[in-house]
Amino acid sequence: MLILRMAMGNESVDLKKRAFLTRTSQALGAIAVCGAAIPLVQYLKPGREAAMSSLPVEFDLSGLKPGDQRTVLWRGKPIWVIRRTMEQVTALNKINPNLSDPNSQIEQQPEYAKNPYRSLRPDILVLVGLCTHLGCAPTFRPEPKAIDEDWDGGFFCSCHGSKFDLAGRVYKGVPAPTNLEVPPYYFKNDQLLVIGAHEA
Amino acid sequence: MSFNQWINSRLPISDFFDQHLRQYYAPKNLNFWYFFGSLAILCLSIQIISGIWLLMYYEPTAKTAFDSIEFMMREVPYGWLLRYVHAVGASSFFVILYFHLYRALMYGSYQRPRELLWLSGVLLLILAMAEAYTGYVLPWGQMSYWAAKVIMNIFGAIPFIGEPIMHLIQGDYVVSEVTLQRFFAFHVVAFPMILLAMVFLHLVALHTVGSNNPDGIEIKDNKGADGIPKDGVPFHPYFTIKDLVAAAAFLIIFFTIVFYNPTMDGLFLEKENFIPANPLVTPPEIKPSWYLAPYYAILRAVPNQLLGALAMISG
Ligand code: FES
Repeated sequence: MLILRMAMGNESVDLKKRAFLTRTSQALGAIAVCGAAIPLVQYLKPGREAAMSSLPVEFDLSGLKPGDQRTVLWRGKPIWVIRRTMEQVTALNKINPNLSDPNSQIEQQPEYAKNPYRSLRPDILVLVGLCTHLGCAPTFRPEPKAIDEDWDGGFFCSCHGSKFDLAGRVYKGVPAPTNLEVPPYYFKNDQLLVIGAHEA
Repeated sequence: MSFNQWINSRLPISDFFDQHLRQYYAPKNLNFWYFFGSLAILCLSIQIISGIWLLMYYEPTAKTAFDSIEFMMREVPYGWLLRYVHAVGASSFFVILYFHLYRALMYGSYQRPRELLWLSGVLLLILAMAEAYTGYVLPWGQMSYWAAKVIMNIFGAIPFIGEPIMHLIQGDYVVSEVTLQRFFAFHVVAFPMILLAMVFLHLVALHTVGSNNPDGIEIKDNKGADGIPKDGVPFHPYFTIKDLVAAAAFLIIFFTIVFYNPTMDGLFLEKENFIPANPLVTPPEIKPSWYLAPYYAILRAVPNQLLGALAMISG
Protein backbone atom coordinates (compact mmCIF):
# COMPACT_ATOMS: atom_id res chain seq x y z
CA MET A 1 0.00 0.00 0.00
CA LEU A 2 2.68 2.36 0.99
CA ILE A 3 4.52 1.67 -2.19
CA LEU A 4 1.40 2.73 -4.10
CA ARG A 5 1.08 5.94 -2.14
CA MET A 6 4.69 6.78 -2.78
CA ALA A 7 4.17 6.08 -6.44
CA MET A 8 1.22 8.46 -6.75
CA GLY A 9 3.36 11.52 -7.11
CA ASN A 10 5.11 10.03 -10.08
CA GLU A 11 2.92 9.74 -13.19
CA SER A 12 5.30 7.51 -15.10
CA VAL A 13 5.16 4.52 -12.73
CA ASP A 14 4.19 1.38 -14.63
CA LEU A 15 2.43 -0.76 -12.04
CA LYS A 16 2.06 -3.70 -14.40
CA LYS A 17 5.75 -3.79 -14.98
CA ARG A 18 6.36 -3.53 -11.26
CA ALA A 19 4.03 -6.44 -10.54
CA PHE A 20 5.75 -8.46 -13.24
CA LEU A 21 9.16 -7.74 -11.73
CA THR A 22 7.93 -8.63 -8.25
CA ARG A 23 6.52 -11.92 -9.43
CA THR A 24 9.56 -12.89 -11.47
CA SER A 25 11.90 -12.16 -8.60
CA GLN A 26 9.68 -14.16 -6.26
CA ALA A 27 9.71 -17.07 -8.69
CA LEU A 28 13.48 -16.90 -9.10
CA GLY A 29 13.86 -16.68 -5.34
CA ALA A 30 11.72 -19.80 -4.94
CA ILE A 31 13.90 -21.63 -7.47
CA ALA A 32 17.02 -20.54 -5.60
CA VAL A 33 15.62 -21.80 -2.31
CA CYS A 34 14.77 -25.17 -3.89
CA GLY A 35 18.25 -25.35 -5.38
CA ALA A 36 19.84 -24.65 -2.01
CA ALA A 37 17.64 -27.32 -0.44
CA ILE A 38 19.01 -30.04 -2.75
CA PRO A 39 22.40 -30.51 -1.04
CA LEU A 40 20.83 -30.07 2.39
CA VAL A 41 18.31 -32.84 1.73
CA GLN A 42 20.72 -35.13 -0.14
CA TYR A 43 23.08 -34.88 2.82
CA LEU A 44 20.44 -36.45 5.06
CA LYS A 45 20.11 -39.60 2.95
CA PRO A 46 21.60 -42.89 4.15
CA GLY A 47 25.20 -42.84 2.98
CA ARG A 48 27.45 -45.48 1.53
CA GLU A 49 28.14 -46.98 4.95
CA ALA A 50 24.43 -47.63 5.46
CA ALA A 51 24.26 -49.14 1.98
CA MET A 52 27.12 -51.49 2.90
CA SER A 53 25.23 -52.83 5.88
CA SER A 54 22.38 -53.79 3.57
CA LEU A 55 24.57 -56.25 1.63
CA PRO A 56 23.45 -59.90 1.99
CA VAL A 57 24.86 -61.88 4.92
CA GLU A 58 25.65 -65.61 4.98
CA PHE A 59 24.70 -68.02 7.73
CA ASP A 60 26.08 -71.51 8.29
CA LEU A 61 23.32 -73.96 9.21
CA SER A 62 25.54 -76.85 10.29
CA GLY A 63 25.56 -75.91 13.98
CA LEU A 64 21.79 -75.41 14.14
CA LYS A 65 20.01 -78.32 15.84
CA PRO A 66 16.25 -78.93 15.55
CA GLY A 67 14.49 -76.52 17.93
CA ASP A 68 17.37 -74.02 17.90
CA GLN A 69 17.07 -70.32 17.24
CA ARG A 70 19.88 -67.97 16.14
CA THR A 71 19.83 -64.25 15.43
CA VAL A 72 21.91 -62.51 12.76
CA LEU A 73 22.05 -58.82 11.94
CA TRP A 74 21.06 -57.63 8.48
CA ARG A 75 20.44 -53.95 7.68
CA GLY A 76 20.63 -53.36 11.40
CA LYS A 77 17.64 -55.60 11.99
CA PRO A 78 17.65 -58.89 13.90
CA ILE A 79 16.98 -61.83 11.58
CA TRP A 80 15.96 -65.10 13.17
CA VAL A 81 17.01 -68.43 11.78
CA ILE A 82 15.14 -71.34 13.37
CA ARG A 83 15.29 -75.06 12.64
CA ARG A 84 11.83 -76.43 13.46
CA THR A 85 11.36 -80.02 14.63
CA MET A 86 9.31 -82.51 12.61
CA GLU A 87 6.36 -82.22 15.03
CA GLN A 88 6.38 -78.44 14.84
CA VAL A 89 6.37 -78.59 11.04
CA THR A 90 3.46 -81.03 10.84
CA ALA A 91 1.50 -78.99 13.37
CA LEU A 92 1.66 -75.99 11.04
CA ASN A 93 -0.43 -77.84 8.44
CA LYS A 94 -3.58 -78.05 10.51
CA ILE A 95 -5.80 -75.01 10.09
CA ASN A 96 -5.80 -72.86 13.21
CA PRO A 97 -9.00 -70.72 13.39
CA ASN A 98 -7.30 -68.26 15.75
CA LEU A 99 -4.86 -66.97 13.14
CA SER A 100 -5.83 -63.75 11.40
CA ASP A 101 -3.99 -64.39 8.11
CA PRO A 102 -3.28 -68.16 8.01
CA ASN A 103 -2.64 -68.23 4.25
CA SER A 104 -0.28 -65.25 4.22
CA GLN A 105 -2.49 -63.18 1.94
CA ILE A 106 -0.87 -59.92 3.05
CA GLU A 107 2.46 -59.16 1.38
CA GLN A 108 4.81 -59.88 4.25
CA GLN A 109 6.95 -62.47 2.49
CA PRO A 110 8.59 -63.20 -0.85
CA GLU A 111 6.49 -65.35 -3.23
CA TYR A 112 8.47 -68.50 -2.34
CA ALA A 113 7.55 -68.24 1.34
CA LYS A 114 3.82 -67.99 0.72
CA ASN A 115 3.01 -71.44 2.07
CA PRO A 116 1.90 -72.90 5.43
CA TYR A 117 5.51 -72.93 6.69
CA ARG A 118 6.25 -69.46 5.36
CA SER A 119 9.66 -70.70 4.30
CA LEU A 120 11.62 -72.23 1.42
CA ARG A 121 12.42 -75.42 3.30
CA PRO A 122 9.77 -76.64 5.76
CA ASP A 123 12.28 -77.02 8.60
CA ILE A 124 14.24 -73.74 8.28
CA LEU A 125 12.33 -70.60 9.23
CA VAL A 126 13.82 -67.17 8.46
CA LEU A 127 12.04 -64.14 9.88
CA VAL A 128 12.69 -60.48 10.56
CA GLY A 129 12.62 -60.53 14.35
CA LEU A 130 10.61 -57.34 14.77
CA CYS A 131 7.00 -57.18 15.88
CA THR A 132 4.72 -55.76 13.19
CA HIS A 133 2.96 -53.67 15.80
CA LEU A 134 5.56 -51.13 16.93
CA GLY A 135 8.83 -52.89 16.27
CA CYS A 136 9.75 -54.58 19.55
CA ALA A 137 11.68 -57.85 19.40
CA PRO A 138 9.33 -60.75 20.29
CA THR A 139 10.71 -63.75 22.16
CA PHE A 140 10.85 -67.32 20.86
CA ARG A 141 8.64 -69.46 23.11
CA PRO A 142 8.44 -72.91 21.50
CA GLU A 143 7.15 -74.70 24.64
CA PRO A 144 3.38 -75.34 24.59
CA LYS A 145 1.34 -73.60 27.30
CA ALA A 146 4.24 -71.23 27.99
CA ILE A 147 2.14 -68.07 27.57
CA ASP A 148 -1.40 -69.27 28.24
CA GLU A 149 -3.53 -72.43 28.16
CA ASP A 150 -3.94 -72.51 24.35
CA TRP A 151 -0.33 -71.67 23.51
CA ASP A 152 1.11 -74.09 20.92
CA GLY A 153 4.52 -72.51 20.78
CA GLY A 154 5.50 -69.46 18.75
CA PHE A 155 6.65 -65.92 19.31
CA PHE A 156 5.39 -63.63 22.03
CA CYS A 157 5.89 -59.89 22.02
CA SER A 158 6.07 -58.68 25.59
CA CYS A 159 5.65 -55.01 24.64
CA HIS A 160 1.90 -55.15 24.03
CA GLY A 161 1.21 -58.86 24.04
CA SER A 162 1.15 -59.79 20.33
CA LYS A 163 1.28 -63.52 19.58
CA PHE A 164 2.62 -65.32 16.51
CA ASP A 165 2.75 -69.04 15.70
CA LEU A 166 5.84 -71.01 14.71
CA ALA A 167 5.57 -69.71 11.14
CA GLY A 168 5.37 -66.11 12.34
CA ARG A 169 1.63 -65.89 11.61
CA VAL A 170 -0.18 -63.41 13.81
CA TYR A 171 -3.05 -64.45 16.08
CA LYS A 172 -6.43 -62.72 16.11
CA GLY A 173 -7.20 -60.12 18.75
CA VAL A 174 -3.66 -58.83 19.34
CA PRO A 175 -2.28 -55.39 18.52
CA ALA A 176 0.04 -56.55 15.70
CA PRO A 177 -1.83 -56.20 12.38
CA THR A 178 0.15 -58.59 10.13
CA ASN A 179 2.32 -61.69 10.13
CA LEU A 180 6.00 -61.31 10.88
CA GLU A 181 8.03 -60.29 7.82
CA VAL A 182 10.08 -62.87 5.91
CA PRO A 183 13.24 -61.33 4.43
CA PRO A 184 14.51 -62.35 0.98
CA TYR A 185 16.86 -65.34 1.26
CA TYR A 186 18.05 -68.46 -0.52
CA PHE A 187 20.20 -71.54 0.10
CA LYS A 188 23.62 -71.47 -1.55
CA ASN A 189 23.94 -75.14 -0.70
CA ASP A 190 22.53 -77.48 1.94
CA GLN A 191 24.35 -75.84 4.79
CA LEU A 192 24.73 -72.25 3.65
CA LEU A 193 21.93 -69.73 3.96
CA VAL A 194 22.17 -66.29 2.30
CA ILE A 195 19.98 -63.62 3.88
CA GLY A 196 19.15 -60.37 2.11
CA ALA A 197 18.93 -61.48 -1.52
CA HIS A 198 16.75 -63.61 -3.74
CA GLU A 199 18.36 -66.48 -5.62
CA ALA A 200 19.94 -65.01 -8.74
CA MET B 1 -12.66 -10.95 11.31
CA SER B 2 -9.92 -12.15 9.02
CA PHE B 3 -7.44 -14.81 9.97
CA ASN B 4 -4.68 -12.21 10.00
CA GLN B 5 -6.60 -10.04 12.41
CA TRP B 6 -7.33 -12.99 14.63
CA ILE B 7 -3.64 -13.82 14.88
CA ASN B 8 -2.55 -10.22 15.14
CA SER B 9 -4.79 -9.31 18.02
CA ARG B 10 -3.19 -12.14 19.98
CA LEU B 11 0.33 -12.21 18.61
CA PRO B 12 1.15 -9.02 16.70
CA ILE B 13 3.45 -10.51 14.09
CA SER B 14 2.48 -8.34 11.17
CA ASP B 15 2.32 -5.24 13.36
CA PHE B 16 5.83 -6.05 14.43
CA PHE B 17 7.05 -6.35 10.87
CA ASP B 18 5.21 -3.19 9.87
CA GLN B 19 6.83 -1.33 12.68
CA HIS B 20 10.33 -2.57 12.00
CA LEU B 21 10.33 -2.84 8.22
CA ARG B 22 7.53 -0.94 6.51
CA GLN B 23 7.40 1.96 8.94
CA TYR B 24 11.01 1.95 9.93
CA TYR B 25 12.58 4.91 8.16
CA ALA B 26 16.17 4.79 7.06
CA PRO B 27 18.03 7.78 5.65
CA LYS B 28 17.53 7.93 1.90
CA ASN B 29 21.20 8.65 1.27
CA LEU B 30 22.59 5.33 2.55
CA ASN B 31 25.28 4.10 0.17
CA PHE B 32 26.73 0.64 -0.45
CA TRP B 33 28.68 0.71 2.80
CA TYR B 34 25.37 0.10 4.53
CA PHE B 35 24.99 -3.30 2.90
CA PHE B 36 27.27 -5.01 5.31
CA GLY B 37 24.91 -5.16 8.26
CA SER B 38 22.34 -7.25 6.47
CA LEU B 39 25.10 -9.25 4.79
CA ALA B 40 26.42 -10.11 8.25
CA ILE B 41 22.99 -11.52 9.13
CA LEU B 42 23.05 -13.52 5.90
CA CYS B 43 26.50 -14.89 6.79
CA LEU B 44 25.37 -15.76 10.29
CA SER B 45 22.39 -17.67 8.89
CA ILE B 46 24.64 -19.56 6.47
CA GLN B 47 26.92 -20.48 9.38
CA ILE B 48 24.05 -21.66 11.56
CA ILE B 49 22.44 -23.79 8.86
CA SER B 50 25.66 -25.35 7.56
CA GLY B 51 26.79 -25.83 11.17
CA ILE B 52 23.68 -27.81 12.06
CA TRP B 53 24.27 -30.06 9.08
CA LEU B 54 27.96 -30.57 9.92
CA LEU B 55 26.98 -31.60 13.43
CA MET B 56 25.13 -34.59 12.03
CA TYR B 57 28.40 -36.35 11.21
CA TYR B 58 31.02 -34.62 13.33
CA GLU B 59 32.34 -36.58 16.34
CA PRO B 60 34.10 -34.47 18.98
CA THR B 61 36.77 -36.84 20.23
CA ALA B 62 40.51 -36.65 19.65
CA LYS B 63 40.43 -40.02 17.90
CA THR B 64 37.49 -39.40 15.61
CA ALA B 65 37.20 -35.64 15.02
CA PHE B 66 39.59 -35.47 12.08
CA ASP B 67 38.37 -38.68 10.49
CA SER B 68 34.71 -37.85 10.91
CA ILE B 69 35.21 -34.65 8.92
CA GLU B 70 37.18 -36.43 6.22
CA PHE B 71 34.48 -39.10 6.10
CA MET B 72 31.82 -36.45 5.75
CA MET B 73 33.69 -34.77 2.92
CA ARG B 74 34.32 -37.96 0.96
CA GLU B 75 31.37 -40.21 1.67
CA VAL B 76 28.37 -38.11 2.66
CA PRO B 77 26.43 -36.63 -0.27
CA TYR B 78 27.40 -32.94 -0.52
CA GLY B 79 29.40 -33.23 2.71
CA TRP B 80 32.33 -31.43 1.02
CA LEU B 81 30.01 -28.59 0.08
CA LEU B 82 28.62 -28.13 3.58
CA ARG B 83 32.07 -28.20 5.12
CA TYR B 84 33.55 -25.71 2.66
CA VAL B 85 30.52 -23.45 2.95
CA HIS B 86 31.07 -23.39 6.71
CA ALA B 87 34.81 -22.76 6.42
CA VAL B 88 34.54 -20.09 3.70
CA GLY B 89 31.53 -18.73 5.57
CA ALA B 90 33.67 -18.09 8.65
CA SER B 91 36.18 -16.05 6.69
CA SER B 92 33.48 -14.20 4.75
CA PHE B 93 31.80 -13.33 8.01
CA PHE B 94 34.95 -11.54 9.11
CA VAL B 95 35.37 -9.80 5.75
CA ILE B 96 31.84 -8.51 6.13
CA LEU B 97 32.29 -7.61 9.79
CA TYR B 98 35.48 -5.68 9.10
CA PHE B 99 33.81 -3.72 6.30
CA HIS B 100 30.87 -3.06 8.58
CA LEU B 101 33.19 -1.84 11.30
CA TYR B 102 35.20 0.28 8.86
CA ARG B 103 31.98 1.94 7.72
CA ALA B 104 31.11 2.76 11.32
CA LEU B 105 34.56 4.27 11.90
CA MET B 106 34.53 6.19 8.63
CA TYR B 107 31.15 7.85 9.16
CA GLY B 108 31.47 8.26 12.90
CA SER B 109 28.60 5.92 13.62
CA TYR B 110 30.00 5.32 17.11
CA GLN B 111 29.18 8.87 18.21
CA ARG B 112 26.24 10.07 20.24
CA PRO B 113 23.55 8.72 20.24
CA ARG B 114 24.97 5.46 18.84
CA GLU B 115 27.55 4.66 21.53
CA LEU B 116 25.84 1.48 22.68
CA LEU B 117 25.22 0.37 19.12
CA TRP B 118 28.96 0.60 18.59
CA LEU B 119 29.84 -1.10 21.86
CA SER B 120 27.46 -3.98 21.27
CA GLY B 121 29.06 -4.30 17.84
CA VAL B 122 32.52 -4.50 19.39
CA LEU B 123 31.27 -7.21 21.74
CA LEU B 124 29.83 -9.03 18.74
CA LEU B 125 33.22 -8.92 17.01
CA ILE B 126 34.93 -10.38 20.07
CA LEU B 127 32.26 -13.07 20.32
CA ALA B 128 32.66 -13.87 16.65
CA MET B 129 36.40 -14.28 17.22
CA ALA B 130 35.82 -16.63 20.14
CA GLU B 131 33.34 -18.55 18.02
CA ALA B 132 35.76 -18.77 15.09
CA TYR B 133 38.66 -19.77 17.31
CA THR B 134 36.80 -22.56 19.08
CA GLY B 135 35.46 -23.70 15.72
CA TYR B 136 38.91 -23.81 14.19
CA VAL B 137 40.02 -26.25 16.89
CA LEU B 138 37.26 -28.76 16.16
CA PRO B 139 38.70 -30.45 13.02
CA TRP B 140 41.65 -31.42 15.25
CA GLY B 141 44.23 -30.94 12.51
CA GLN B 142 47.77 -29.77 13.11
CA MET B 143 46.85 -26.08 12.90
CA SER B 144 43.80 -26.59 15.10
CA TYR B 145 45.90 -28.15 17.81
CA TRP B 146 48.84 -25.81 17.76
CA ALA B 147 46.80 -22.64 17.39
CA ALA B 148 44.71 -23.77 20.34
CA LYS B 149 47.89 -24.25 22.30
CA VAL B 150 49.34 -20.85 21.44
CA ILE B 151 46.15 -19.02 22.32
CA MET B 152 45.77 -20.96 25.56
CA ASN B 153 49.28 -19.88 26.49
CA ILE B 154 48.24 -16.27 26.01
CA PHE B 155 45.85 -16.77 28.89
CA GLY B 156 48.66 -18.44 30.76
CA ALA B 157 50.71 -15.24 30.48
CA ILE B 158 48.43 -13.33 32.82
CA PRO B 159 50.42 -12.99 36.09
CA PHE B 160 49.44 -15.13 39.11
CA ILE B 161 45.96 -16.19 37.95
CA GLY B 162 47.01 -16.94 34.37
CA GLU B 163 47.96 -20.55 34.79
CA PRO B 164 44.91 -21.59 36.84
CA ILE B 165 42.66 -19.81 34.33
CA MET B 166 44.35 -21.58 31.45
CA HIS B 167 43.92 -24.93 33.16
CA LEU B 168 40.31 -24.09 33.90
CA ILE B 169 39.55 -23.28 30.27
CA GLN B 170 41.37 -26.21 28.72
CA GLY B 171 40.37 -28.64 31.47
CA ASP B 172 43.74 -30.33 31.41
CA TYR B 173 47.39 -29.42 31.90
CA VAL B 174 47.86 -29.49 28.16
CA VAL B 175 45.50 -28.98 25.24
CA SER B 176 43.82 -32.36 24.91
CA GLU B 177 40.60 -34.14 24.11
CA VAL B 178 39.03 -32.55 27.18
CA THR B 179 39.76 -29.15 25.63
CA LEU B 180 38.34 -30.29 22.31
CA GLN B 181 35.11 -31.37 23.90
CA ARG B 182 34.53 -28.19 25.84
CA PHE B 183 35.42 -26.07 22.82
CA PHE B 184 32.79 -28.11 21.02
CA ALA B 185 30.23 -27.15 23.66
CA PHE B 186 31.27 -23.48 23.42
CA HIS B 187 31.28 -23.41 19.65
CA VAL B 188 28.01 -25.22 19.11
CA VAL B 189 25.84 -24.08 22.00
CA ALA B 190 27.18 -21.39 24.29
CA PHE B 191 28.69 -18.83 21.92
CA PRO B 192 26.01 -19.02 19.22
CA MET B 193 23.30 -18.42 21.80
CA ILE B 194 25.10 -15.40 23.24
CA LEU B 195 25.86 -14.23 19.72
CA LEU B 196 22.21 -14.36 18.70
CA ALA B 197 21.15 -12.54 21.85
CA MET B 198 23.76 -9.85 21.15
CA VAL B 199 22.59 -9.52 17.54
CA PHE B 200 19.10 -8.98 18.88
CA LEU B 201 20.31 -6.25 21.25
CA HIS B 202 22.36 -4.69 18.45
CA LEU B 203 19.21 -4.48 16.31
CA VAL B 204 17.13 -3.12 19.17
CA ALA B 205 19.72 -0.39 19.61
CA LEU B 206 19.79 0.28 15.87
CA HIS B 207 16.03 0.59 15.61
CA THR B 208 15.97 2.93 18.57
CA VAL B 209 18.59 5.39 17.36
CA GLY B 210 18.26 4.74 13.61
CA SER B 211 20.95 4.43 11.00
CA ASN B 212 23.60 7.04 10.65
CA ASN B 213 24.36 8.16 7.08
CA PRO B 214 27.30 9.45 5.06
CA ASP B 215 26.28 13.07 5.58
CA GLY B 216 25.77 12.64 9.31
CA ILE B 217 22.27 14.14 9.21
CA GLU B 218 19.85 13.13 11.97
CA ILE B 219 16.75 12.36 9.93
CA LYS B 220 14.63 12.36 13.07
CA ASP B 221 15.28 16.09 13.55
CA ASN B 222 13.36 16.98 10.41
CA LYS B 223 9.94 15.39 10.37
CA GLY B 224 7.00 16.18 8.11
CA ALA B 225 3.49 16.94 9.32
CA ASP B 226 2.71 13.21 9.33
CA GLY B 227 5.56 12.53 11.75
CA ILE B 228 7.64 10.79 9.08
CA PRO B 229 11.25 11.93 8.67
CA LYS B 230 11.46 13.95 5.46
CA ASP B 231 14.83 12.48 4.56
CA GLY B 232 13.83 8.90 5.30
CA VAL B 233 12.41 6.12 3.20
CA PRO B 234 10.75 2.99 4.56
CA PHE B 235 13.23 0.19 5.05
CA HIS B 236 10.87 -2.17 3.27
CA PRO B 237 10.70 -2.22 0.28
CA TYR B 238 13.45 0.29 -0.50
CA PHE B 239 16.35 -1.13 1.43
CA THR B 240 15.26 -4.75 1.43
CA ILE B 241 15.39 -4.62 -2.37
CA LYS B 242 18.73 -2.88 -2.32
CA ASP B 243 20.10 -5.37 0.21
CA LEU B 244 18.89 -8.23 -1.94
CA VAL B 245 21.07 -7.03 -4.79
CA ALA B 246 23.98 -6.93 -2.37
CA ALA B 247 23.13 -10.42 -1.16
CA ALA B 248 23.11 -11.70 -4.74
CA ALA B 249 26.50 -10.12 -5.44
CA PHE B 250 27.87 -11.53 -2.20
CA LEU B 251 26.58 -15.03 -2.90
CA ILE B 252 28.13 -15.01 -6.39
CA ILE B 253 31.55 -14.21 -4.93
CA PHE B 254 31.01 -16.56 -2.00
CA PHE B 255 30.15 -19.58 -4.12
CA THR B 256 32.86 -18.83 -6.65
CA ILE B 257 35.30 -19.25 -3.77
CA VAL B 258 33.51 -22.29 -2.36
CA PHE B 259 33.53 -24.06 -5.72
CA TYR B 260 36.90 -22.99 -7.13
CA ASN B 261 39.20 -22.29 -4.25
CA PRO B 262 37.62 -23.29 -0.95
CA THR B 263 40.84 -23.14 1.05
CA MET B 264 41.80 -19.80 -0.58
CA ASP B 265 45.32 -21.20 -1.06
CA GLY B 266 45.64 -21.89 2.62
CA LEU B 267 44.26 -18.58 3.80
CA PHE B 268 40.84 -19.89 4.83
CA LEU B 269 41.94 -23.45 5.62
CA GLU B 270 45.66 -23.97 6.16
CA LYS B 271 47.37 -26.91 4.49
CA GLU B 272 48.59 -28.16 7.85
CA ASN B 273 45.03 -28.56 8.97
CA PHE B 274 44.60 -31.43 6.56
CA ILE B 275 47.10 -33.37 8.72
CA PRO B 276 45.73 -34.89 11.94
CA ALA B 277 46.85 -33.19 15.17
CA ASN B 278 50.17 -34.45 16.47
CA PRO B 279 51.29 -33.23 19.90
CA LEU B 280 54.89 -34.19 19.12
CA VAL B 281 55.47 -32.22 15.92
CA THR B 282 54.87 -28.50 15.55
CA PRO B 283 54.22 -27.28 12.02
CA PRO B 284 57.06 -25.10 10.69
CA GLU B 285 54.99 -21.94 10.94
CA ILE B 286 52.00 -21.47 13.15
CA LYS B 287 49.87 -18.64 12.00
CA PRO B 288 46.38 -17.93 13.19
CA SER B 289 43.54 -17.50 10.73
CA TRP B 290 43.93 -14.27 8.76
CA TYR B 291 41.15 -12.54 10.68
CA LEU B 292 43.08 -12.91 13.92
CA ALA B 293 46.44 -12.15 12.29
CA PRO B 294 46.69 -8.44 13.24
CA TYR B 295 46.24 -9.24 16.91
CA TYR B 296 48.69 -12.08 16.67
CA ALA B 297 51.21 -9.77 14.97
CA ILE B 298 51.01 -7.42 17.96
CA LEU B 299 51.69 -10.34 20.24
CA ARG B 300 54.76 -11.34 18.30
CA ALA B 301 56.06 -7.80 17.95
CA VAL B 302 56.37 -7.30 21.71
CA PRO B 303 59.28 -9.31 23.07
CA ASN B 304 57.82 -9.59 26.57
CA GLN B 305 55.23 -12.33 26.99
CA LEU B 306 52.94 -10.46 29.35
CA LEU B 307 53.27 -7.04 27.70
CA GLY B 308 52.69 -8.62 24.32
CA ALA B 309 49.50 -10.27 25.48
CA LEU B 310 48.34 -7.03 27.07
CA ALA B 311 49.07 -5.03 23.93
CA MET B 312 47.19 -7.57 21.88
CA ILE B 313 44.10 -7.49 24.08
CA SER B 314 44.01 -3.69 24.19
CA GLY B 315 44.50 -3.64 20.42
S1 FES C 1 5.37 -53.94 19.61
FE1 FES C 1 4.88 -56.03 19.80
S2 FES C 1 2.95 -55.93 20.59
FE2 FES C 1 3.37 -53.85 20.35
